Amino acid sequence: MPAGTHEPNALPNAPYPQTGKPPRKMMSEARFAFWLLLPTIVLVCGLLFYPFVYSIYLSFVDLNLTKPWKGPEFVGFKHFTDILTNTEFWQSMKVTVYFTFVSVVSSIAVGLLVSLALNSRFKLRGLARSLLLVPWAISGVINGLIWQWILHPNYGVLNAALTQTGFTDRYIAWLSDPVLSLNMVIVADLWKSFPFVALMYLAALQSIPKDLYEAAKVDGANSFAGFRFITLPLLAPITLVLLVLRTIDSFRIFDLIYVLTKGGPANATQVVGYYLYKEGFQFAKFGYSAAGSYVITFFILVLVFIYIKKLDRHNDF
Amino acid sequence: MKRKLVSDLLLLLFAFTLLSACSGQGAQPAGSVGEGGDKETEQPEAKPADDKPFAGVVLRTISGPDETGYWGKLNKEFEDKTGIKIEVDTVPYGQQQQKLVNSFLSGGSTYDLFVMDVIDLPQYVEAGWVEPVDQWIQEEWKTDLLPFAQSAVVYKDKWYGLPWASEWKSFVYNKEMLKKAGYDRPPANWDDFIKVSKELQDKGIVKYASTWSWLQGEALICDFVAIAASKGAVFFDDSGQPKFNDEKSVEALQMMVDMLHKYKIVDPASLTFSESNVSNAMQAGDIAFELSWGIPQVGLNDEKQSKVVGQTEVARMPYSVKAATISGPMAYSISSGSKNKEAAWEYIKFLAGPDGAKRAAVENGVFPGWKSVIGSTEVKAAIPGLEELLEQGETAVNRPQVPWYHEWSSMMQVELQNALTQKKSPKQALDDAMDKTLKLMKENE
Repeated sequence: MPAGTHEPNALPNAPYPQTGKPPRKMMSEARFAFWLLLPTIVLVCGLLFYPFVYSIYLSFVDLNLTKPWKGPEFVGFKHFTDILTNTEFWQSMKVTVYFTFVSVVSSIAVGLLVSLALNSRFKLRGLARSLLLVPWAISGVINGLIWQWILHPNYGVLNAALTQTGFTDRYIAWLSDPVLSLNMVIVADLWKSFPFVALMYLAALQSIPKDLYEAAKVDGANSFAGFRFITLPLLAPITLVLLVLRTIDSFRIFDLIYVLTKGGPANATQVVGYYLYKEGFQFAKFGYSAAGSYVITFFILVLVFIYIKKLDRHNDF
Repeated sequence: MKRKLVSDLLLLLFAFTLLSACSGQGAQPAGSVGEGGDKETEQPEAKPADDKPFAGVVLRTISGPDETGYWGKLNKEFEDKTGIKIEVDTVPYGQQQQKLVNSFLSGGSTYDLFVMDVIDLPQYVEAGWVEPVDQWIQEEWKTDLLPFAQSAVVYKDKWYGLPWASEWKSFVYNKEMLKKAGYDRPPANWDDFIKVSKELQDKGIVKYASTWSWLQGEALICDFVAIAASKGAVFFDDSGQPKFNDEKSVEALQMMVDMLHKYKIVDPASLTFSESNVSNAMQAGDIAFELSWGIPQVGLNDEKQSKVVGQTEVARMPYSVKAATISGPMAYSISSGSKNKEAAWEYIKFLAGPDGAKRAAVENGVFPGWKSVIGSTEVKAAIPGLEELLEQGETAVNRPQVPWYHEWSSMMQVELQNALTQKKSPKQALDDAMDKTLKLMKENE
């Protein structure tokens, strides 16, 4: 048979000229997808699911790590009752709530102002927008170390700046006073967190159609009215996202406290994250610490739920 | 289809189990060869020579930064001599204890050797994390150990290592500054200390006469124990009952509060300062008095880091009832989970035995815990102001030795700072500390 001729019963132009039937696949598409996803599934299970389940187990047992002869003991809800009746826990919760409230409100306010400024036209706007990201890109520990030097009572930049500009005639020990120290930690946190807020707002501002402002101008609205009745309502959805993200972020604050104050003076800056770390990793009470983490998760969920309910009600534009 | 699903799930489970096994979780029995993710101590591969029975063994230890290069030199020498390689996990100061405890909790095989602070000894022994070394202790060593160095090494009549850095805090003053203020000797009691401090400040010689390490940390406990002891206070009586809210302790804390807020002779930044901040201030010539660990004049007379070379002296800390200071001896010990305990002992002997301790004192300024070493002429020549330091060392007192020390200390730090920041009166702070201590004792019965 000359080359190039086909068998008499083969159908010309048939999609499967060899057999007339579709070839048997090695595996189904779903199965193939599963194998491709397997490494990710294993990683997610190993790094998220397993620790998650183990932490639930931990919250109901006392591992007795410093008393190995006792072995792990099931203690039921003891860790939860202990933590909810512990005054140091509630004190750290108070600090955390204050920290979260001031940090979230101030970062949203400063972020909004900065985004409005960066949304207007001025020279070197591109450079300013790029520089904005620098504090946000720096790691929390490095941020803490930078602020440790800024706030150093004897050699710090802040004291030098304030005395040289005549704001004060003496150096201030920023982190020695319980009230002052917590607020200075918030300032350090604000420096790192507001760029993210500004960036998100900037993106949202750029998506607002200019026609709305022009129409408002025709109707006689001034700039403030334009901001009040156009900008703010259209920023509400992103504000909800920011509120949720920033609240979760602030509630979990740890690195800054660890580097700057270690919870002092007199536990004035001991946030709940640091308290639970101390109980878990310094005193080897992992069960108590795990239970505390779930209590915190519960509080965060309640807050997020309230945000969503509140903002959804006003979301009628 | 169902069979496929089951096989997929089984494979998933297998992969997951493999991953979990690699995480190195869970304690391993001492002496067993672990399969976890912890870096295991390597076993010798080839048969070692008779004079180097442990050749090829790798020992792991944890330590702060080797700033002087002393450790690198020493470890190389030890390796040449014995064939044992020392791997050091270098961590920042203050993170050693926590990393060490985490290693114990995962079986204790991560580190073969470690430096153990006197306050950690009871907890480590009770938890079974540290190996007793009585079998290797030479008879003459038992009488050669300095009494307070012994507290870091011996617990319930068993030895748990050899003394390393048997330190206490010494009172240091700047004699040039005092001379300018018209004084030719340091203050002997607390009233004098306050008076001289005020004069130094009034004459503009210093902004604050002293800085202390009163941050919310262990350093605060050390300073308070020393000051309270100088007022005649005792923290725990002989039967182990806490006594630290008595009149003498309250008086000591009240004095600390007054020095900060009433007389204003202590830098308020002390509430955030650790020992290194205090040393830096003394070396910079910012203050006239400090309480410092070890051999303070090594750093103070080093031109590279000090502006007060030759200006400082050591004296007894001022006192009202009896001379006192705080001790903080440490031991070099072996982890119970180590696979190479005998090789580890060789290293400890080399490093902290009387010969090693003498070398550490002469070359690295580490205070020895052996009487014979302190008495040697080389050490006497190498340590500046040794007589004064020893005089101070004789008055050193210890912190409470209890297995729940870290929890107690953490609570106590907060109560002391409550008084120092004037959130509570000294009496109230110490009464509250007493209540919490009794609760802690009950929980740990």
